Amino acid sequence: MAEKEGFTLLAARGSAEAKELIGRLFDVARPEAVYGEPMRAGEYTLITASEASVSMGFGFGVGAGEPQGEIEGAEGTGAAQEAGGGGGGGGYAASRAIAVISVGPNGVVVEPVVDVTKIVLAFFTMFGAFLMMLGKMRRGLKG
Amino acid sequence: MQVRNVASQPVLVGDTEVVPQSRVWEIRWPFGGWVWHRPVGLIVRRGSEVKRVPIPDVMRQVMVGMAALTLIALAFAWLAVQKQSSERRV
Repeated sequence: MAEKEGFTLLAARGSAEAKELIGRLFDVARPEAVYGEPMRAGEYTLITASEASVSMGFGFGVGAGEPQGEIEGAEGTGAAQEAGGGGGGGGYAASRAIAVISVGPNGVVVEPVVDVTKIVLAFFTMFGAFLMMLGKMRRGLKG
Repeated sequence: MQVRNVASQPVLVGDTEVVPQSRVWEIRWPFGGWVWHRPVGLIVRRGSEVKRVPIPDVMRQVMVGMAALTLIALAFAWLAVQKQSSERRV
């Protein structure tokens, strides 16, 4: 019984801590998470704009109960309780620069950030996937 | 789930005031959540003139465009293979 209560308390504390962590997850929703501090350089002010994505989840469980049947060595003490528990969690966070905003005498200019390496890699990946699918289709035609 | 627009602190440069805007997508479940926050545009005020400047996500546009082209090419390839298969049967 005491073990069961102990596990319940442990589960409640874990749940409270996890909920606090989940609450902090939504700090990403603040404006400061995507727009950087303005940087002044002469007549120009630069602001970076990024995209942020965060995901988090967790679960846990505890259980206790009396075993069915007799247990050797448990005479006179009553059946021993068995208890168990487990938990797990995971998360993902990513951030990517989208543009640089320049404010100056010429007005406001938005310069998009283009990652050429990523584009080339994505092109080769998609081209490879296309060739693989084409090969499978042709093999299906022959076979 | 909620989608909302968020405005950041205005930035004053000379006589130009810039108000950055962003969009937040949130999904909450009992023990977790997902947040996607991205910039969408700027409100630029200069004197009495107010205009909205969008912030394009060029990388996403390129990636989605390439994925769409790949799917279209696959669809055409599949149709060509199907046509070849039916011609062989005849």
